[in-house]
Amino acid sequence: MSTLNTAPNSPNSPLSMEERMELERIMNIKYASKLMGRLFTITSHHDTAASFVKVTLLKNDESFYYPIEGRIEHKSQNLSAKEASLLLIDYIDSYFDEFLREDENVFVPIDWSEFSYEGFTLSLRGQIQDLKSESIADQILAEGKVLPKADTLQS
Amino acid sequence: MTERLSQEHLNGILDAGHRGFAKLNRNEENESLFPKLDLKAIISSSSPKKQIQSLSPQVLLHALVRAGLSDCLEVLPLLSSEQFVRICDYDIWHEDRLVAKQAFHWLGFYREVSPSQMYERFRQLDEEYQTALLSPYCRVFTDEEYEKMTEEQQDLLYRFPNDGLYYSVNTGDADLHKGICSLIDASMGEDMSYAMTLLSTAAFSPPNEQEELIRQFRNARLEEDGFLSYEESLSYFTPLDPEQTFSLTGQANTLEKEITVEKDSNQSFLTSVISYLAKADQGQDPAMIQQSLLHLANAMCGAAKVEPDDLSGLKDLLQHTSGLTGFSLETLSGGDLVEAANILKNQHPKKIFQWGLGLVHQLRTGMLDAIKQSTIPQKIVERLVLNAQTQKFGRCQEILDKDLLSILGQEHTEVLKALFNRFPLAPTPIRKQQDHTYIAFKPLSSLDEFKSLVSYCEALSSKLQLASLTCKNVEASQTTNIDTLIMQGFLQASLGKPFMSKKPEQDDLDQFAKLRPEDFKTTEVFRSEISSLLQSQSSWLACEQGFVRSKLIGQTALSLKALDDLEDLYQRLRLTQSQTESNISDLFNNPASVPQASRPQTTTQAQGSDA
Repeated sequence: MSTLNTAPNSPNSPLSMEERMELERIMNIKYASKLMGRLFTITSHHDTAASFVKVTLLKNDESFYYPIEGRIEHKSQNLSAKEASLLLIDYIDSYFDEFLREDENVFVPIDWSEFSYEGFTLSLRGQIQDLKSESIADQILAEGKVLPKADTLQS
Repeated sequence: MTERLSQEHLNGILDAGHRGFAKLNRNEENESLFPKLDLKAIISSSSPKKQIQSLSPQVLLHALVRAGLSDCLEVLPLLSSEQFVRICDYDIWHEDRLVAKQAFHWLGFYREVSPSQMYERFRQLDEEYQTALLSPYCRVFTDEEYEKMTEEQQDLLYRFPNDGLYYSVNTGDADLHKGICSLIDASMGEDMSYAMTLLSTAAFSPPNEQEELIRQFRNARLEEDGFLSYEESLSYFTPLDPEQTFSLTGQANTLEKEITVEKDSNQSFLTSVISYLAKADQGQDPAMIQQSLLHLANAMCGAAKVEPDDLSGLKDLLQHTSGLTGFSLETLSGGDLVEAANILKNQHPKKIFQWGLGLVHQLRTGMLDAIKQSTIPQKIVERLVLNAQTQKFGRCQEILDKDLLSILGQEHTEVLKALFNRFPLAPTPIRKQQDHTYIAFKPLSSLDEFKSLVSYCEALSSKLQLASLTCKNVEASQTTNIDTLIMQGFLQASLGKPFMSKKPEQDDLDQFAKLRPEDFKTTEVFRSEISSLLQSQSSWLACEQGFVRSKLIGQTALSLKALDDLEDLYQRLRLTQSQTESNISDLFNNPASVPQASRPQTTTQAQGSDA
């Protein structure tokens, strides 16, 4: 499986590079029939109190970019940082399972919202973006180009 | 590491056979395999109730879900009681557990029609269903018990009118709570004694007992639609011997031959056969054929771990089963629509499906034999053979991915994974998307696709043979990539030395750099010599007497794909003449890192005539 999109490991990630790549590999095979040229990447980091995980479904050109971020207060829930990160990844995987099964019509809130999973409390947020178009738009604005009028865009 | 992303969990998914590959989008024709309903047209017709009640519950369910229940309030009251029960059998279960929330989701839409509709539909369910849906959430209390409670506890209870009975609805899910309360209110409005009996029975029912009973009834009803247990479903994947069952075609032809048949090249063979049957056999409704194919797909759900209400998964299975059935029909009939229609009319689709699997099984056996004779470590080969023989397809995929990827390279590994998939897949030409090259697969559905798959296997088998030739008298690493072994052999041969795998030394590289263009073989000479060399060795895919070889492929030359792949390796070697030393070193450590030589597009049809 391609590793071209694997992000470098954060220095305070509870998961090793190998563990992260293995999880990415499994996700990309598991959902291969529904990815349509997209890939999953996983990043994670933690601090003394909380663990953070981001699982992103993206196209290489980032015209489809869907990061799901999760966070969990591992210290208060008596989990190690690694256990907490794996729990988050499990839950986000179950979300993507439903998302891809239901023709991509199931969404998580844009802002942090709490969920319960296996007796633990965690938070998720996510929003689909088109970074490619955003980048082009930023470029146009930066160059100070005048955009065509709305009615001429329709022709 | 995680439960859902463990290799074991992944093996289970890969074993199911319909998820682990990037597939081409389902095209319009494949969509048409699943019976579609126009509910609006049915409602507008003169006898909507009769039409709705004549429909199969499975097809009706999917039509309702696709249209959205909120837009089908006119349709819902027209369902018969049996249809409603069957729809519940499909849709209110998940992984063999009853999902009350989903049941009350349905009942909620009936509530929108009228409270009495909600009550009637609930009462139409088996008693075990009724009890099982309420017993986890409802408790009943007498006056005495009520008096002993605190005010806060009393506030949570509901009171039966005119009686000393109270009940509670215990769930944290607001929608479920609302649904249950609506149902109880509706029941009290229609039949008070029923409502009281229902709640009392539910409250005092032992946990899970009613659910277990209704599960048995549910499974028995689902069997009528073809759904089987996992073990029974596995029996559908027993391949039939193509030689012995060739007499499948020996049935009397009962169809008219005078009807003009035009094959549409944009349609699959199976669709053409079904269209022909509709014209030729006046009693044969195409919908009946679709239904029997749907039954076949339903039977696969157990082995493929697809839930009965999973429309997306079911469509995938329908695509696979219809594809393989179409491939079998085309092969059995030699492409003759009339013959194929006769077979489809007179044979069970299961048998036709299994016959096609028999051909794939021969190809798998041949490929395993080729791998056994190669340089691949025997321990890996034994594990692969054992798992293939016991149809542990998930484990086969794991072995191919983890142990053979570095030896065979990505393309060959992916093709083998497609071959050793529960539902065999055919590779589509390698496509480039931006900077990435990938292979997409589609369900095997035609003779041409099968021949293409054979051609890929033959190309790999040829490489395996050539690689093992290079290692004949040499101690080579058993895990070296086969392309590397072959190119090492080509390099040595280019220098006039024996064809063997040997990491080039500096002298070799210096000599190689001085070779002139005329020192390299022309395409014609290379291909001729390679063909002779390989054909003088033991036969490829060791299934010489098999149906695949004798009836479909012929006895003769290597496929164009095999020759193309080998020539590509030779040309890559040539290109390195102008490269730096580090690039040449790369070539022998990682041949995939060196760009492919450009050469004219060739087809991948097998050469040689049929026997």
